[in-house]
Amino acid sequence: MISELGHFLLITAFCINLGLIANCISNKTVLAGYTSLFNKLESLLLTFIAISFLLLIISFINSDFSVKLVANNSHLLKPVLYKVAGTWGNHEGSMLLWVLILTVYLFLFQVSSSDYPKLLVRNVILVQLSTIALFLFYLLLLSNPFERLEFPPLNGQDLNPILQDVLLVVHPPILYLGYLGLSIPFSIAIGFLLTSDHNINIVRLIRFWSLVPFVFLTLGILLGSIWAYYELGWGGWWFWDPVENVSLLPWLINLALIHSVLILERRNSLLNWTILLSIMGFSFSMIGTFIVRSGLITSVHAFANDPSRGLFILLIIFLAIASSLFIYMTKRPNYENFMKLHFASKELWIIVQNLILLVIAAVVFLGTIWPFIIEAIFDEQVSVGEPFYEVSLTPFVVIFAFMLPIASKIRWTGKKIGDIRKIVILIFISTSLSVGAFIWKDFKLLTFIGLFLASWVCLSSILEFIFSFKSRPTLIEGLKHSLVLNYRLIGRTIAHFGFGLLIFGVTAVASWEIEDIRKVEVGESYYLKSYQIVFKGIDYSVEKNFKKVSGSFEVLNNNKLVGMLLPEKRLYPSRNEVTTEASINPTLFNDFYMVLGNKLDENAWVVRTYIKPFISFIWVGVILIALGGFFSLLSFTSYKKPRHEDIN
Amino acid sequence: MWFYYLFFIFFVGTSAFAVEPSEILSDTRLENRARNLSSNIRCLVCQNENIDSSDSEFAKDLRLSIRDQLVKGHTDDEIEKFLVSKYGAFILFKPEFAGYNIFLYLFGPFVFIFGLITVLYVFFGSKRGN
Repeated sequence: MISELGHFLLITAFCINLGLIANCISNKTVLAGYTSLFNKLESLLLTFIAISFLLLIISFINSDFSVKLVANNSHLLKPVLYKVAGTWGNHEGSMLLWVLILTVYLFLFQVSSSDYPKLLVRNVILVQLSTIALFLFYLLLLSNPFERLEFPPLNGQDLNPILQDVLLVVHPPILYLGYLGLSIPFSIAIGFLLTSDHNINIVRLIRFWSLVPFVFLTLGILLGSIWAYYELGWGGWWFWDPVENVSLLPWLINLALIHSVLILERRNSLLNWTILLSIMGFSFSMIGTFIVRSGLITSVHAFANDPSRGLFILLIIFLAIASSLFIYMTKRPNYENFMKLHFASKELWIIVQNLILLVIAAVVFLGTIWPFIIEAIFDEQVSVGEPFYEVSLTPFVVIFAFMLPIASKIRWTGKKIGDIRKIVILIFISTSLSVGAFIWKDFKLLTFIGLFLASWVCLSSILEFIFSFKSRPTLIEGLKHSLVLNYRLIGRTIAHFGFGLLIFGVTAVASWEIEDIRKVEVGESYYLKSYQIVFKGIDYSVEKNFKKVSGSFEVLNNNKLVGMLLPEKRLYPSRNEVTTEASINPTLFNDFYMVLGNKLDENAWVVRTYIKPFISFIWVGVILIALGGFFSLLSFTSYKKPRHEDIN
Repeated sequence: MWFYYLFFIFFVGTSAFAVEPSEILSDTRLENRARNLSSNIRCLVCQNENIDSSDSEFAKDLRLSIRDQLVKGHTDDEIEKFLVSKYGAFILFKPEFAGYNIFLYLFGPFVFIFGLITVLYVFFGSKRGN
């Protein structure tokens, strides 16, 4: 009954959706968002989809194995938390979540856009509704989550053990909030193009709605990276797997967008470019999501793919993107307010930064689909993986990071690159800092470049923040101005500083990681640098839905206990799968990371130990980048037309 | 009893686990080269892993074969060429800089230079200043 109701609600929602679209198109006097009936129907659409999602969750909690999806992805013995999260740990359930979040964003946009011209709002809502209709149609036609089984099994097939993790609860919803948040700038852009009045100022709208997904997308990617770090057991934090690559694409485009919109705001220029980026951002999140699901590309995340349905949705998406680009080509504003630029003006630097982000995205995209292209054209098979991306992206990241402090610091329409002396001094300090660390540890060119860039980006963002006090008469007033009033400055400083920390973390892990693989007997101890590691014992136990063997290890430094490591291997009988659970003991500067291998004889086991220096800097850096976006969002709480010094 | 039997099968019976201590060469320079090489070699029976981190028997055999060839004095290039001739270009995560792959490598720099010229042309070559 529950699942029939859920299915019924989805069908009704689809009908309401079509009705709303028809209303938007046909009746020009009944304007979307401004009649109570339209608003009520829109709320009803959201409510129906939300209830149907809840009903699916209930089916999972009740372990109703007559529902095909539950039978394939759940198990009686699974903890309730994973039963709930299992709802979106599969293709159909995640599609329903996808539609739900799209609708939530539609609703939020509607609520927050009351002071914009009605025609624009109606067009934006029309675009968003059409997107929802597209995916709802796909959901109902080809991936119905409520499908029943004629002969329900006694127990389910269980969720892929790798996915049974606390992060399954938060990682996909947050990532989706990011991916789908990009649908709003997309809808704004298309809606704006469809509106004949191109004098409407959409800067604030786009700025706000591109920052929201930026925060979620950054956090979502971070959570995925942390998950891979401890779950996959290889000790890496980024694998250049297709799924990771495609999450990076919309992030990069969005990053370019939130910076180009600054130029639009300040100089009323680059309108077309900003619109194009808005369209590209959401296009990439759709292409990315479904190119992986279509099974065209192999990935370690192959839990939710289905080639036949995937190809169908990919086709629809390409049509949708093609028509968006067609609208862009035909309807774009044909005036472009060109600035007379000086070499030292901020616009130029931001545009070049934009370009580099796009180049990185282009390389990642081409690398990801290259195996598919080559197979289609030459019928040959190639692989593109981590070593390729390292070689081809590093130069661009280096140029990007080097330009960042200058682009951030110089003034709009500046005539010179600020105080050359200050920059030279700063570069000198950064260089000597990195030379110091360089001599202290070891001698590699990339290590040196990484350290230099990290200190250059971090130092200059702090200095830039401090110097902003100086434009005020007193220090107190300056502090007040910068800390209380100027969320944008705080946001920018935090985000850029975080980027510097990220570079440092990446460099440190890549250069100074220690790896050790050995056979260890119970009671034996060994040294890694100054750390002593003692193998205390091995333990077998049975948990609710798996059995495990776990080792216990002590990490000692000068006979003082630093931490315990308890690596596990688990056997999930329901799927006959073994997973390794790495044990990580994070300290401020070092992560101790251990994986338990095979039993060699009565007492001896293979053990893999890593000491990863400064890996926490990677996580902290990315969190700061997201936090920077969050602070920039706060600037909308007290929005006023920005003055020169506010955004400079 | 059946419980320990299962353990025996899964934790002891599967004898492969990424790089194993018995595989490691005593010569650290050769071992480093082996690790470097194997991070570029795809495990053909896995989803998207290199042989350095894969648990499969296939990966283990390749790791041993690479070390064997290194000890015999083969160069990195020769070993990669050997693997490509045996398993095809699919086995390398970093495609060879040859044939159609040249396009893949030059795509980024090309887009960058093309974009840069466009930007400079639009902003400096344009007569339409405001």
